[in-house]
Formats: sequence, structure tokens, C-alpha cells
Amino acid sequence: MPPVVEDLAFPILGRSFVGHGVPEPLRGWLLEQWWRPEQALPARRFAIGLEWTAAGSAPAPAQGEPVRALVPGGVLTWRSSGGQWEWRGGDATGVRLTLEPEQARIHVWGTSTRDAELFTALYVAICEALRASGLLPLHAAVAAPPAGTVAWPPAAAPYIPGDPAATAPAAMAFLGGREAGKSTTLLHLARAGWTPVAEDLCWIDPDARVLYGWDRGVRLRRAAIEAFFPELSGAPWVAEPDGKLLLHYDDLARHGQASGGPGGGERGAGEAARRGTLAGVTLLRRAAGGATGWEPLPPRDAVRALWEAVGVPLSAAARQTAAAWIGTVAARLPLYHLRLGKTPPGPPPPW
Amino acid sequence: MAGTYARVARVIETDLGHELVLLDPETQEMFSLNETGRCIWRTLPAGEAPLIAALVAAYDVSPAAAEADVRRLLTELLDAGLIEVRGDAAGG
Repeated sequence: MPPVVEDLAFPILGRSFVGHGVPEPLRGWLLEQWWRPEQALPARRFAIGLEWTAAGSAPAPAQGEPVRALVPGGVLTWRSSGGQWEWRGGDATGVRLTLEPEQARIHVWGTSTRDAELFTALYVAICEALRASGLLPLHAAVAAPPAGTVAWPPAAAPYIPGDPAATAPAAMAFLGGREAGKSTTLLHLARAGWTPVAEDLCWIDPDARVLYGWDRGVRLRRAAIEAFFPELSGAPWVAEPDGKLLLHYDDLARHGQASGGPGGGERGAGEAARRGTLAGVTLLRRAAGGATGWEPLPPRDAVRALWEAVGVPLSAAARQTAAAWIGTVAARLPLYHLRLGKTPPGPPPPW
Repeated sequence: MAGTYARVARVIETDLGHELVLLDPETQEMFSLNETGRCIWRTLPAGEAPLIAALVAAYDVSPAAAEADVRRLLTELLDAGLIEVRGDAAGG
């Protein structure tokens, strides 16, 4: 039987997280997914508490309206009632999320072995708790161009003294689903001097538009490395379970690609904080051939892409917050469509 | 078409100022409304007559043209599952 760690505590972007009775497989998963000491922020008054109990300790099933959450590879159906959401994976496993002012309580019950669907439901619950604390997830590649190479409109990169955005450089978010070309685009831009902030996932403070990179490196298939980035074929890529290879940002920097921290961020565990201020949005689309080129993106198309990147929250309040943020971004920021042809992308044209 | 037309509660609105984008999280379908469509949407819940009156008041259109616009949009929104009919002509 795996050892039980009674208390697991660390901050997530300034929100406190405490786990009680967390068995080892889950403990490792929590640290891997959510512990980012380099992304330290001042403490916020919001607490996320997680309690793990054995499989036989399931509470009485919650009643309520079904709410579906799209997750990679499927749909999880939750039952919603008031400030509570519950997902059950049969009789033995489940997750119950309770949202209250300034705190979220998560009760997980199940076996101590790794259960992919249970962990996915827990991931949804923690995301929802962070949404309730005022953050939004954004599935996007994000990169900051070298200073002066992109002419951002004033509304896209405001400078407000004391604003956290002032310490994070203007950055472009590249949106697209799986295999849309986010990683390849990010590496092409890194080769051109852009600084990677995120490859696939970041969290955003919607008020300040500051993006916090959440992944730890760039993931590509070996064929793409050999075809587009042969200079990186000797880099210390690490095999991932899905067959892709991961290159940590620090190793990317050691191989001559711009990948230092964007500047101004705090550091921890020897890793640079990857931050940017959202200044533009680009939707990636692969093309069969021809040159890579930038085109305007209609706001309504940006809305669709942003909803796909943000995901639909479980709670009505979080849905309203996300809708307001997406509306503001789509109405005010430069929006591009990057048609990915056979040539590397250049800088975006003036908006 | 009689009854009170109401927004389906789960539908999410994203406001672009001149345009309103509706998202049904169940189907992931999106639906874009222009300014007149937005005016009709904002007037819901309502029956057909108040919707026509709202359009005539807000824009320089004849009642006949407004009625055609309202009926066309209500049909499209019903087909898309974004609105529902409640009661029987309760909203006028």
C-alpha cells in the first residue's frame, strides 16, 4: 500500500492549496500538474482544500442538473446543485467540488491506484476552483517577440504604473487544436528570437491580461524535429508517454534558441518564470502548400477559437467571467489568422 | 407563432459590441447575431408582438419588415436550440 502524505501544501499562483490524506500516486500527479514554484505570486485570499478518502467512503449521490465538461478524449458529466458539482465514476470513485466565497473544497474518493478518469475529473475540479479565484486557463502557445519587432497598437499593450502587466512583455497567443502547429510555430519563432512563454497551456489573470506559462518545455514528434529543426536533433529530448519528445525550455536555451524568461518575473527552483502580457491573438491553420502568411481574423472567429482555448466552465459565474474576457479580447486586441504553409512565419504585419 | 420566447438558460453570450455571439455549451455550436438580432435577443423573454415593437422602436423599419425579421430569427434560434417557447401567448 502506498504511503499516505497527510498534508501536501503549496501555492498555485498565490492561491493556497492543501491536500489531506493524499496517497502517493495522486501526490506525484498534483505536484507535476500544479506545483510551479517559479510562478510565485503574492498571496491571494483564496484557499483550495483537497481531501482524499477511501473508495468505500463515497457520500450519498448528489442530485442536480447535469453539466457536461469536455475533456481530452471524451465528456465528463457532473451533477450541479447550488455551489456544488459532483462527478461519479461508478460506485467506487468520484469528485465533489464545493465553491464558497474565497475557498473551494474538493472531496475525492477512490482507490489509491492511478485512475485516469478520476484524475481527469480532479483536474477539472481544480481548474474550476482556480476559475472561481479569478483566473482563466488558456490552451495556447504564447511567445513574446524581441523588443521593437512588432508594432502593437497602444490598446494592446497598455502601460499602467504598478500594473503587473508592466513587468511582463507583450506576447502573442497562438490558438489551435491538437496538431494545429502550435509547437512547431513556437520553435520557428524561438529561432527568430521570440521568447517562449507557453507551448500549450498557460493561466491568465483576465484583469491584467498577464499570462503565466504552465508547461515546462516544447513537445514535438521526432519527424518534425528532423524535418524542421535539425539543429535541435542532438538536444536532450525526453520521451513522453504519447510518443512525443519533450525539450525543457532551459535545454532549448542552451541550444541557442531564445528561451530565457521574458524578464521581470520571479524565479524559483532554478527555472525562469515565463510570463507575458496578452497583446494579440492568432489562430493557426495548416495549409497544404504555399507560403506561410498572416491574415486578419474576424472577431467572431476569434470568439470561437478563444472559447475552444479557454474551455467552458462548470459554473455560471465562471462562464460569465470567461465570456466577458473573451468579448473584450476579441473586440480590442489585434486578431490574426496565420496560414501555415511551407515557409517559417515572419513577424505579424502592423495591425 | 404564439407564446413567450425565452433564452435557454445554458446559452452563453459573448458581447462584441456590434455583434453578439451565442454559444451552446452542450453542442459547442455558435450563433452570431447582428445589431437587430441582438436587439431581439435582449428583449427576451417576450412574445412576438413586443419583439416587433422593440425592433420598430430601435430601428427605422416598418412593422411589416420587423415582423418578418422577428419571425425569421425566432425560427432560426428555435432550430438552433438557443430559445424555447413557454406558455401560450402569455407574453403578448
